[in-house]
Amino acid sequence: MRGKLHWPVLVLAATIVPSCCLALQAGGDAASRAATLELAAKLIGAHDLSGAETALQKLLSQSKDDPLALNLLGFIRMQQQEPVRAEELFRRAAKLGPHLAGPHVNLALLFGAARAEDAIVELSEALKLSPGHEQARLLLREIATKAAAGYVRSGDPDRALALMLRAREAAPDDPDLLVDTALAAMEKGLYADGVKFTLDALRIRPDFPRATYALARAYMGDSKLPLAEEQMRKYLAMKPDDASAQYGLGLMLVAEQKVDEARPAFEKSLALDPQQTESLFQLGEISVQEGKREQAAEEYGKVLTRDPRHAGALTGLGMLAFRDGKLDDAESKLAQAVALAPSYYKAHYYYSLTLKKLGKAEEAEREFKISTDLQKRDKPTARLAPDRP
Amino acid sequence: MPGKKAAGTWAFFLSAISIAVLGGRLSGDDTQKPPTGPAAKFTEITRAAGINFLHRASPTPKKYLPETMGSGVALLDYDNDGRLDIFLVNGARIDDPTPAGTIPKKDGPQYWNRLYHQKQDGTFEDVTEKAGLAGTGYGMGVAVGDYDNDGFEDLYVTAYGGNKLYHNNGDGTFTDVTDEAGVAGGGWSTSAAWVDYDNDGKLDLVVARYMKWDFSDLWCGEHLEGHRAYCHPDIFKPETLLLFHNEDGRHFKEVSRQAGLTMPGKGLGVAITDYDRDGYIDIFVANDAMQEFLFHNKGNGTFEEVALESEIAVDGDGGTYSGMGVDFADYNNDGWPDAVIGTLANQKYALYLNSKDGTFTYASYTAGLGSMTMFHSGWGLRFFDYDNDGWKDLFVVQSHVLDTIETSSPGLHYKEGALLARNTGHGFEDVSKISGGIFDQRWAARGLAVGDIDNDGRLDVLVSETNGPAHLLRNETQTPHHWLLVKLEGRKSNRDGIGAVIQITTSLGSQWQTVSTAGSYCSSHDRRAHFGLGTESLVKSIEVRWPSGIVQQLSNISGDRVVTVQEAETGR
Repeated sequence: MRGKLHWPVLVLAATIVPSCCLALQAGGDAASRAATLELAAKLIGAHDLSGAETALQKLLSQSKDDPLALNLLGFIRMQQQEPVRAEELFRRAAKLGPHLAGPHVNLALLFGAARAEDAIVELSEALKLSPGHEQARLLLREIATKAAAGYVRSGDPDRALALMLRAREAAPDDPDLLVDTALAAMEKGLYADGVKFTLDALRIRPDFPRATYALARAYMGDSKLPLAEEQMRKYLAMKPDDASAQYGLGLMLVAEQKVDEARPAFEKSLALDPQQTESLFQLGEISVQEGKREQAAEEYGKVLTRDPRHAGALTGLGMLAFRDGKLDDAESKLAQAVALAPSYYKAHYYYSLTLKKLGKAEEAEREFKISTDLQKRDKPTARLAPDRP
Repeated sequence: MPGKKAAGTWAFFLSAISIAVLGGRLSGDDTQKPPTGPAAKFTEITRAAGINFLHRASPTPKKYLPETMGSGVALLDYDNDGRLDIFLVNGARIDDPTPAGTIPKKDGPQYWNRLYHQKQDGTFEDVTEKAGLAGTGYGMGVAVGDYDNDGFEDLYVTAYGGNKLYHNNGDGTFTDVTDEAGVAGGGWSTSAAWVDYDNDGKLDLVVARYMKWDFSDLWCGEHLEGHRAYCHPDIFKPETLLLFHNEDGRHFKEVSRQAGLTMPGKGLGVAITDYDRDGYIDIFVANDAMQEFLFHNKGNGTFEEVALESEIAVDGDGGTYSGMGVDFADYNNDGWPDAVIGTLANQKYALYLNSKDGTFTYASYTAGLGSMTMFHSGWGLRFFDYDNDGWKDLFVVQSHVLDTIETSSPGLHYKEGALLARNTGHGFEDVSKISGGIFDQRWAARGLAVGDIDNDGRLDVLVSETNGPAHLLRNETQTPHHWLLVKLEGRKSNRDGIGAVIQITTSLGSQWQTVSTAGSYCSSHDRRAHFGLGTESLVKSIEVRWPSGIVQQLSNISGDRVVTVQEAETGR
């Protein structure tokens, strides 16, 4: 991921470029105008907004419809936290200078992720006017990804995907945007689209670890586990010290039921990031599958030492306690687990078994119903629910 | 999500895993250790044997659910000539559209159920018309049992919209006695099982019903051409079982409510066994997309549903699955019946080892069945010893339920090959992949029945496909092992001996079989109990625990033959 950009400076630079060009083309008054614009831009860069405004107002008093001056003045208003007036000025600049990309970029900057859809419209326009406009491209990527992530967090993956698709239309050959679009598609469960976008990204930039990683995830979601494993191994060849990827590989291998191979992947992940809990937890799960209950208990115990609120490990230990007939211990651990992770159906299931054995039939049935209902809610698309009942 | 994530991307992986595991299938070969056991040889002899059956599902663009559910098959000796005959259940015409409330009819011979009689030379002849077994509705399942103890096997045929009981007249013909017997049922019946649940010497009848469904025009799947799919069972209401008590050998009384079988389910498979060895046969129902049911027989004519506390309601993680075919048999030779349930792809077939205390241990992982079956869908299935080595193996016919599955999950397949999982004594290994032949064929398989059609001691398999042909598979596996088939004739108990537990002991150890024609998916097996004897040709003892309570013992029985055991007047 690239570093965070200092947007006002970049966009300011973008804004003054056309004035330079204009100066070269014209001469005379135009040269003076260009010099004024450059001066104003420099003053803005030095945070001397009033000085910059004085220079610009002087220019505008001679030519009130100068789009570049309006654009810079809009920039000043934006800096002064006057977004309405800034927008008005940028729009006027865009209207009066239809060949200028700068006002559109500034509008996008003004809108930011809060008005991401509007920003992307402006950036699309900017990129149409100036396809090589690197700042517009970078801003497009930043606004789109930031806003999409926000939509996903607020539970609106549809909006996230729609936004990314619009951004991708604006810059179809941007591999970063393609990967981000893939991620948004995958949030919607559209793994085949995720595969397509990441493959497109890899065609543009073949050695692109982020795209390879995303492709592994997309293949996994699309149930193509061997391909997912292949891509994840490819990614790990580029980034062997990525503990997350080692963990991801382990999960893929578990899903493929290659438990023997999954264990070393989790162990390597753990070696790379000894403080993590998840690989340790997965090792416990594997031990249970292999019937190694003592080892599982030890692994779950280590998880809880690091994270006493780890619902998975609590469930694991609760299940082992249930199997050993230590029902009070099982009840205590499983009650904690369901409280910590109310949507974890396995915890509810073992809690229900324990309660049943303790003679608490009603509570047991309730927990069992919660467990099965949770699975209905998460029903996969193995057989598709109706679009219209 | 069980725990805190250590890195942002991990959360994604966990959700992706669940989708991968639950919603799709991997492409490419499953990874397994190479099997150690001998390859199996099952030869398709369908056409050569004179069987020319084509199941008619009547698929329509409307994707009416029965179209994909297929029908069952039966192996039975209806004329007591010592050779197994074949009964094949068929669908009926479905129009596009079919109005809701319609009960499809068989309006042409192409939709008839078929009875094939095995001739002396091992070929079969179609005797459907003469037998009077063409049927009427959209057939689903078949259960074979001698409900009136007259020595001739009768047939119960389930269907969508009403079932039929055919009494075997003993002269090659059958009479539809449904109305007189009072066993028509209703709704959408699937698998059925003959069982003497109250040990009164007369076979009762338990019938699974799938769900409340009619021909309403529901669109499931994406609104794209070729993407309309069969609807998920979650959108339909569950239905109760039917339990018909055999009152007098002619009349039945529906007693599901009195017997406590009131929990509505989505039953596709039924198996019977006395899992807790209390002397009363229990009933297991494989439900689709919900928890499974285990009805414990309390011995007083009532049942209690105990699947949860018996740890057989869900998988080892508490996950529900789409239960389809089922079998209940002692695969580890410890005297306690174990269970296997076929499921939909990404769910792993559910194997449960009897813990001998009324509970089961989920054993799909430890027995090796999880990795073998993760990406397959199992319908008809049966534990049986294909190589007569003394360990019951597992034969499963497979196919996804959605004929459009490849458009939504490209790695999954609608038509699949059969699975033969060899029991090594320590777990299962996939020998179908080294066996070739019929295992390389891809079928939309549904029903499966197992029996010894040529009485050579190697159990053969009959398979149905939905909207496709039947397959008769003769077991020609080369094996030096010996065998024994035990045919029971009850006197005080029901004549078929259904529910009796047979224990045989050789110098190599003991094996147990509960006599039943039920299990699998909508199908009915040869009722004779089969035992592979390994290298031993002598059975030191046979013990039969009859449903009547009589325990009968025989000693020093030579193998490689069919032994008929008549119920003694008294016993230990």
